[in-house]
Amino acid sequence: MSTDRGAPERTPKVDLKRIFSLDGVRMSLVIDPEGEVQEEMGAENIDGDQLAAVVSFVMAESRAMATRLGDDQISMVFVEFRDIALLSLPLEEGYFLLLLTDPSANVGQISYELKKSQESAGALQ
Amino acid sequence: MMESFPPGTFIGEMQAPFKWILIHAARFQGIIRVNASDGEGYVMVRKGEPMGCMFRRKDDLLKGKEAYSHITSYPVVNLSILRYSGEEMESAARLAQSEGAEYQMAGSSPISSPLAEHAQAQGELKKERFNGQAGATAVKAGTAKIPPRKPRDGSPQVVEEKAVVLPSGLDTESLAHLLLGRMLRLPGVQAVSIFGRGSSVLSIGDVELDSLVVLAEDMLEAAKEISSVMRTGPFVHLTLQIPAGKVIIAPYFNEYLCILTGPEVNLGQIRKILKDIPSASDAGGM
Repeated sequence: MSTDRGAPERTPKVDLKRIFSLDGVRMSLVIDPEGEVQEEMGAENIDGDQLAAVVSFVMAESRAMATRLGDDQISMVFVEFRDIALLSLPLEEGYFLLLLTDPSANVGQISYELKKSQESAGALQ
Repeated sequence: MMESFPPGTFIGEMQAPFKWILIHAARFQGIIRVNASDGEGYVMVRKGEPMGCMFRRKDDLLKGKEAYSHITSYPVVNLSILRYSGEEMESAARLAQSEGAEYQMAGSSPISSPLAEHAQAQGELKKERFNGQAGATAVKAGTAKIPPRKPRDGSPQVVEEKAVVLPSGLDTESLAHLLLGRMLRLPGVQAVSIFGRGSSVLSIGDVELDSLVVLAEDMLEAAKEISSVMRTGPFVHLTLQIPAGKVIIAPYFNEYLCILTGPEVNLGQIRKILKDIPSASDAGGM
């Protein structure tokens, strides 16, 4: 199920349906710079808004680390737990794409698909 | 002071309390070079016990127990670890004895029992050969000048360091700190640090990680919050990928590892080493 939260005009265009169809992906979300969900698909038992808020915090701390290391941009943040993994990729204008995957999912394949998606759809609408 | 000692096999460099390294060196034999604010010296170690010790403090030359007490008085010192083969250990023991640097713990074997030591070392070498690692671990015996530590990039020493294979048959906990050295030898790994409560316990590598530890801990705390909104199970690792490389944070017993790498690193190899750390996935459970 895909939920479009009435995203503003400049929301990055991401093919969530295609991403969600990748093996091992349980949930996909587009999160705006304020930490609010703009679009989501899957995992109805997870509160996307709460998740978006905490993952925004992870992204903010990751940006601080990247800046400290002399890089202004993040390529990807991957957090793995025993039962689930989270993959986050920045899009344009402070938006980012968040995927929840099975820990056994092929992260290499997913990140490859995400990068392709990022290149083709990272531009703002 | 150490010019005549055998070169040994370079294991790694770290900052740590000296006694900490001994706790984790139950099967280690070799020499640990010590660099402190007021001088430098060495401690020869066999099976986690100091066997010889010397420290030059300005014009004073401390030897044996006096040197050891001085080195262990520091909360943290810079250490450079060199593993010795049986023959190298025998040669180093003779040198330490001739210099009056002998140090004997209560109940430990005297430094001058090279035959027993040699026999034991030969046994360990045979074990390593059995495991197909002889070419990687055997070091030509004999005395030579300890070469200065060279930069990792492109130096001939790098080739030798990458060939180091940890001795087999050691219990994993005793080897835990050597796993850091193993990580550091992976192509692309620049530095490894163990940290907890906002400070670095020890770090190895070419990059100073102490100042990154606070940021690493902030990332970790933020990641912990994910467990408050969904069922995740224990934390396994966090990887931040930037164009210049990666920062990997993973549980390490009751503390955490922070690994800094270049872009070319093979994450699979790092994850394999992380899995070798016992209870790594449980110790950091959030």
